[in-house]
Amino acid sequence: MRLIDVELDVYQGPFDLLFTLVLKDEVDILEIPVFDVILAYVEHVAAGDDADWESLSEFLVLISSLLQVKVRRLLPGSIPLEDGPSADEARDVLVERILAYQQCRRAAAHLAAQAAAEAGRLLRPPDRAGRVVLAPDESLQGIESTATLVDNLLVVWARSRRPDTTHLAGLRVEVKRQIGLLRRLLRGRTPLSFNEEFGNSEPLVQAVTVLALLNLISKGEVKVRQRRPFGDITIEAVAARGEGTDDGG
Amino acid sequence: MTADKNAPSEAFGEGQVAGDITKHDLEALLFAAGRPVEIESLMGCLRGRGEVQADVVLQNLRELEREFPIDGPRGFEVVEVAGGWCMRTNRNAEPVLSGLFDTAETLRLSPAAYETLAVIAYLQPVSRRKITEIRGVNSDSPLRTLVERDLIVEVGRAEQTGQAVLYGTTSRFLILFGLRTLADLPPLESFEVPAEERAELLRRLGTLSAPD
Repeated sequence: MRLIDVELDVYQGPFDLLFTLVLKDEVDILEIPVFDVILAYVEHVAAGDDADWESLSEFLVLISSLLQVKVRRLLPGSIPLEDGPSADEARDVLVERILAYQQCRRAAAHLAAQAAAEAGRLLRPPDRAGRVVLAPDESLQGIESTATLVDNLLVVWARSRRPDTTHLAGLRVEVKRQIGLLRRLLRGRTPLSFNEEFGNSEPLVQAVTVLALLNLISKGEVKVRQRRPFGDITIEAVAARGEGTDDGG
Repeated sequence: MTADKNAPSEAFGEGQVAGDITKHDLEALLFAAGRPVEIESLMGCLRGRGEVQADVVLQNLRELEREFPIDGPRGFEVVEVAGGWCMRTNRNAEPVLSGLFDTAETLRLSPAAYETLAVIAYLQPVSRRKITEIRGVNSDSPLRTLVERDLIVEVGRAEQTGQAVLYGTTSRFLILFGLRTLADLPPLESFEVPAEERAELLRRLGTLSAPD
């Protein structure tokens, strides 16, 4: 069957297919086996890896327009549908879209020919040049003058100084260090009040100390008690284990 | 500075005016750049020689253009392309250049990619949705290819329709297609379906009465 050849074009897209069917193949719309077209498309989709809903629904719209047009041709006096576009409207939309696509295809053919004609015109890549001083073309789009841009950037660059960082004190706090600190404090006296020892420290120090505390709890070195949420934490050393618990830190 | 100005001029032989230094410099710049360079950038480079006027630069570029015309007798040509000036090989040398490079490889695109590129070239800035609408099929894959080949870029976001990404062509597109600006593209109307073919389509779809 002649349409088998056309089916191979399905992957090119619905408009392509329709145009081929309606125009290039010299097939009257009455002779187009719409069912075969649908079948071919379904097979094409089934063969693909991912479902492309956008083009699927696009195809549905197209094929139903085609059906509507065909029905109109087969049954000239048929009763018009109550809602939705009339057969004439559907056909006009279909025609417009096929023509718009056809225009795009012609423009594409021109571009392809142009590209082929320009293929022999090579720009010499500056292989042995140093670092490129010119900015990349794309970054300059919309800027009237590159020279002005360079001048302005130089002014901004000259003005820029190292930001003042004197207010930033180097805060050094580590979980390991806080574990050591807690152990030393607990050796001196137990129980300890968290607020008394760390209440005035930076929030970061307090947070890291809590982490250190959790570490000591998991090792079974301390017991903690907090009477209410956000209240003071009482820390008590678990003495029974003896010296062995101190693994050097 | 004066010594600099004179030295290369002497190389041109007797009877050469001092203005030739600009042409000499421009020739070197276009040769070395390996891509189109805007007049402003060329002027910026020439500043090391002293004050330069835009019209003098342009005049010299036009002279170079005459000396190395498109498809002329020389092996390379000086042309205005992609908003700048460049030196490129004469396409008549393509048969021999293909001994060095696979020149056809520069732009091997699928029909789908060319269609997508055509829509973007003519309708930019244009959204993915609009491209799909015109081609009647999802265009994600050709779009990816075109972005990878540096022929199109995201140029912005649509104010309406959910901030959709808008695509436009790059200067590489202009270079590869030998265009000074997008205005050099033939008008879109020139690709309209001829009346004859249009009538045939309408006839087959039953708008005009079929001969049977």
